[in-house]
Amino acid sequence: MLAVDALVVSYGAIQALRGVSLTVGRGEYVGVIGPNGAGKTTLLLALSGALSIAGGRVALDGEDLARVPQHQRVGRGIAIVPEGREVFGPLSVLENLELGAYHRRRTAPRAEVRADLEMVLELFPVLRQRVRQLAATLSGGEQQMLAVGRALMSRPRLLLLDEPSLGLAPVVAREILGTLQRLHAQGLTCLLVEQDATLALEATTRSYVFRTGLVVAEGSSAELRRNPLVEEIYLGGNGPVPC
Amino acid sequence: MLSLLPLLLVNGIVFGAIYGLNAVGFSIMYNATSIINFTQGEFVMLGGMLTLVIYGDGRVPLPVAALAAIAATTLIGLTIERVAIRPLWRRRAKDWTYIFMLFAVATVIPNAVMLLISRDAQTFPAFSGDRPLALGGVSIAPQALWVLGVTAVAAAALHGFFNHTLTGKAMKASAINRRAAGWMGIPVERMVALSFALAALLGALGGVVFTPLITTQFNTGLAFTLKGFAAAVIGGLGNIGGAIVGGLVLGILEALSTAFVSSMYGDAVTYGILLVILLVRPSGFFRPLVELQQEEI
Repeated sequence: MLAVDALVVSYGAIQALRGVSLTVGRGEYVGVIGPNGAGKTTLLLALSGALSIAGGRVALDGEDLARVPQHQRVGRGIAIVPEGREVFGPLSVLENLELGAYHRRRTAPRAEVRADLEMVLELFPVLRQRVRQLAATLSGGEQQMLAVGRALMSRPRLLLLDEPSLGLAPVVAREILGTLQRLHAQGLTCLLVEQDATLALEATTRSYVFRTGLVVAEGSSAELRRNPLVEEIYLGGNGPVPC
Repeated sequence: MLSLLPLLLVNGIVFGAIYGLNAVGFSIMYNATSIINFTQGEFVMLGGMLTLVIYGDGRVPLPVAALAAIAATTLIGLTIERVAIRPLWRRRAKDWTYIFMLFAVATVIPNAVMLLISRDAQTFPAFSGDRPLALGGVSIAPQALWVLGVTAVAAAALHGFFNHTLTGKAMKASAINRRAAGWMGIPVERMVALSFALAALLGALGGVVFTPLITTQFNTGLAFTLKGFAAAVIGGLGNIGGAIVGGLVLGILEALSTAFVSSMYGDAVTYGILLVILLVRPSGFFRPLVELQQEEI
């Protein structure tokens, strides 16, 4: 479904991704792990169109995404739950969810959007109690649920998840990851970026290990859990940065 | 002097309504781009001037001329966005670049009007005659009621637009977080264009209903820009309801100071208030929609 080939992304003179290749097949739950600064978030920003790419190729179902501007990516089926959630704080929970379905405003019947809204509120019952509240007044975990719900409102084919557990109490983090697991079981394709390797390798079926903008290991998540390299990366940090 | 109070209040409210409409224009633009649109007052002048040109002593019915002038000014607003703003926006230019650009535009427009249309102060007939109406002991020009009515309708329409339509909410979302709005599929550039169009439309609307009460001239825009800006700051830049309130407060204070201090000090009071508010409470008296633009990576 998603094919990333030799992707290069730079911030000015600094290359954050230095030729990364990976694939995500339909219905897969793929993880990207690695320490801070490995380029995980950069990957998701590039896939979602928020960053332009400096080299390589990103294709979704064979279509080159280079010429698809950011605001049209969601129409292609890519939704993101960004790092730091980025919900619209001054807007209500309901408005945030409505905007999640913005790209379908002309194509989807109202009833369909309503049904999706109902589905999201079933998935996260706490949001139902808060529909009229401003998103900024929610707790961190609730905001994370809202960010996931907002992404689901677009009916994504590929869901990009950037550290959905970051800064949350372990119970809440487990709850959210559990919900994502159920969505995956229902057929949703997910790409999860996580700094917490244990969490990510438990949740996903296949993973890539990033370090300083490169893929240094890949394989089934079960295998990677036993891979000494993963342990070394996490204990030894980034190591000397190759130039 | 105190017997004049009701009349002064009415006058202040009428002027305040126009300041309020412009303050809303400032706020919409600020929300969309976080820049101060120094061409706002020129839209007021254009609304009046273009109505005059199209009306031409009765060749065209006044309501038709007024609507055409509003439409033309809105188009001019869209053109400014396309030609002067979007190229800067695409390059993610610094805020001061916009300010210089808009100052340039705000200089070109009055000069063009002076050269192409007229350098004289002019006006056109009031919509419903000039016979003052006596309302509770205050005599009020029918045109003043037009000003108040149009402002009230515009404020209600804007409230509905921003709170009850998906496009209005999408505009707010673009203001709050440009990147996240893009992820929702909201075409942020089109939202910026739309906010220019709205700001121009509100300015022109004000100019059209207000001109019969005073006059209009190529160089009246700047005063509306400055007062609209002051009103927007009082109301909390970016807060639509606050902008209307800010306009009314400013209009009333101005009317009172003109009467009780001296007509010479009207402007001094306006800008004195602006100065004090900027020093004491820079975010105004109502909460802005976006207090700090989220920085993008």
